[in-house]
Amino acid sequence: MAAGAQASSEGPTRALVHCEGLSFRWPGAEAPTLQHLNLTLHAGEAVLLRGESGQGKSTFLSLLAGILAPSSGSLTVAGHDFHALGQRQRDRVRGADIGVIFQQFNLLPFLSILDNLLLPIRFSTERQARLHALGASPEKAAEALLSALGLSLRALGNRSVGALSVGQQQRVAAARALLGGPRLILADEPTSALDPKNRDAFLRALKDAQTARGAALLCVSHDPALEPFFDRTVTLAALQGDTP
Amino acid sequence: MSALLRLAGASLLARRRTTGLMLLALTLSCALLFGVEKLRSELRTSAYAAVGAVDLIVGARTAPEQLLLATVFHYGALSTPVPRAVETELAAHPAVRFAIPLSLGDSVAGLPVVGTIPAYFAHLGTPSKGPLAFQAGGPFASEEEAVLGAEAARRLGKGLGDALTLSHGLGAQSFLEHGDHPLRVVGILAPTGTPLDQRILVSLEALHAAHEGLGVGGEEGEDNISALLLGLSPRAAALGLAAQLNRSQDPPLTAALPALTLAGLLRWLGAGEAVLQVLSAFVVAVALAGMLAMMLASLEQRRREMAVLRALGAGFPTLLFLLLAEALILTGAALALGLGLVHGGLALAAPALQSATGLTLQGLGPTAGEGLLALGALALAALAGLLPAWLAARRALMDGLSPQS
Ligand SMILES: Nc1ncnc2c1ncn2[C@@H]1O[C@H](COP(=O)(O)OP(=O)(O)OP(=O)(O)O)[C@@H](O)[C@H]1O
Ligand SMILES: [Mg+2]
Repeated sequence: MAAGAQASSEGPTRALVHCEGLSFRWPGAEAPTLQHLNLTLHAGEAVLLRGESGQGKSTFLSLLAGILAPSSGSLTVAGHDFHALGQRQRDRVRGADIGVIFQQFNLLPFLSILDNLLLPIRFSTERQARLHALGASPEKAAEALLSALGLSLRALGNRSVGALSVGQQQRVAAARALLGGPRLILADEPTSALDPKNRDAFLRALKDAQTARGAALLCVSHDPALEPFFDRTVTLAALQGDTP
Repeated sequence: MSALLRLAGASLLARRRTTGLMLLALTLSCALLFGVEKLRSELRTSAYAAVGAVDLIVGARTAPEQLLLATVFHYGALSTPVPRAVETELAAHPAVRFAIPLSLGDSVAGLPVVGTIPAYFAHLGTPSKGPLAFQAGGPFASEEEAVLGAEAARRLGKGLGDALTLSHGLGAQSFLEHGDHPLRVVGILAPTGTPLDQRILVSLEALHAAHEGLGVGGEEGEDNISALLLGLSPRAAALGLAAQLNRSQDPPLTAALPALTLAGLLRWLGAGEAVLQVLSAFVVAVALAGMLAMMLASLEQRRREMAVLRALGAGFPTLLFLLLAEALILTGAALALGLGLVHGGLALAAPALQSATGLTLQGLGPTAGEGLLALGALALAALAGLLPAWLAARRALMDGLSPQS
């Protein structure tokens, strides 16, 4: 894919995500799930990742989030060499700089909307500091983000998270991932439960929040209708076929 | 830290059914642990309080344990009387502060009747060793008068001025009624928390008169008593005097040091207590094992929760802390509830215990022993919680963003 080759030619230094020859094998699996994967992602870029079911898209996002460690190859995220970092440091980088949105299990049902939103702030001093530098209290920032995504915290009140519609839950989860200014947003099929109208609204809001911050967005989806919202679309197969 | 604790608490609350059941099991086991400890220590304190100011108990030759049990706890009987001359002799001893004669063996409606002298009330205060306090009236002054312990008055339903008849022999169903010798109640003692509360105290002469009237005087003539309670000054003289009395052959006597004899009896009881303590500790361990099983079982349904927390930046130490906090919150709550249950339960059971044993549980506040037990249980809980916590945190590290659900 041309876009991938062009990005990697600009070198890893300016890139937010850069991986080369990345391979991963689940413990106990006979064949590696991902093999020789190359991808470069720049700040402000929004990329759609497609691939067959079970091919390893979610696994790839886990690697980028630092939840899993690569078996071989190089992986740099937000200036950190994830291959060299220990689990604990990768957790810190994720807490500070990576926002994860996923479709299947987004919110903790036993916490209120606001408590759900504020969870990443509690785990990361960097996010706290960034909000503080903006002069916003976490609660105010959360409220502003939600209204940017078309939800009013006041209107939702202290309704339990379980009492929200799936679309509302996804937007709360997106706000949670964006709160505290992460530089990389990873979204795993965030719109699979939305009708076309809500899906488009959600994507517009997500894109707005991303471009406003100059963050990079990598979004996994099976839905070809999403392509217009993104700068480029890549498939997992192509990323692995690409030899630099 | 406090945000994490709140998170752990919220998660526990979200699973309130399993949490509640686990809390119940833990609470009951902690209550058992505390209950055994409480009864053990309280019964000891009460037993020592019952001995009170008495430094030496003197009776006819018998085992010191029997002497103590019969005179202080009204358990068992003293068959051989002591001549009153012994009292006169001992009262003249320079180290003897007081010598109180006791005549035992009678009862009214199952309550022990003790014949003694009015000096009893001046010297046998427990446990502060001052004079005995009366809630109404005062000591008896003649052989027509009687004093009731607090519990005795309550059970007989008698007040000041009421009439009382004596019967011979201990036991609730005494068939010989001393109908001709009604006594008048002139005093009711304040509660002491000792077997004294169940006693009926009359003069030696009143008992003697009652026996004469029935012709059951036997050896217990006017010149015989059952035992003597001695107070000494200095108290250290007890050891020497006891040795001296125990050697005496005319008449053959036994002198028991009540605190020492009681300690011996309690040490003997201690073996049984130890079994109870070990058993109750085992029950707590079983409950903790149950908690461990519950936590392990819940790991599967909590994979999503863990995955979300992981995705939001929670690392291994955070997850470990969360799960460990869960075990400790549960155990801490169970300890507090168990302690409350024991103290509430004992406060409710105290009257029944008092009428069954004559002992009143005094200090119902938490003790240092209970604090140690609580710390031990918490440490055990932390140890037990460490395994599921470690496993859960570990598994969360292995899972990616899409745990197979
Ligand atoms: N925790 C795990 N342990 C072992 N193997 C796993 C684990 N998670 C995923 N896999 C395996 O890795 C492969 C890729 O799974 P992954 O979830 O990344 O696929 P995907 O591309 O996201 O699929 P989908 O589009 O259905 O979400 C699959 O074969 C899967 O069985
Ligand atoms: Mg997937």
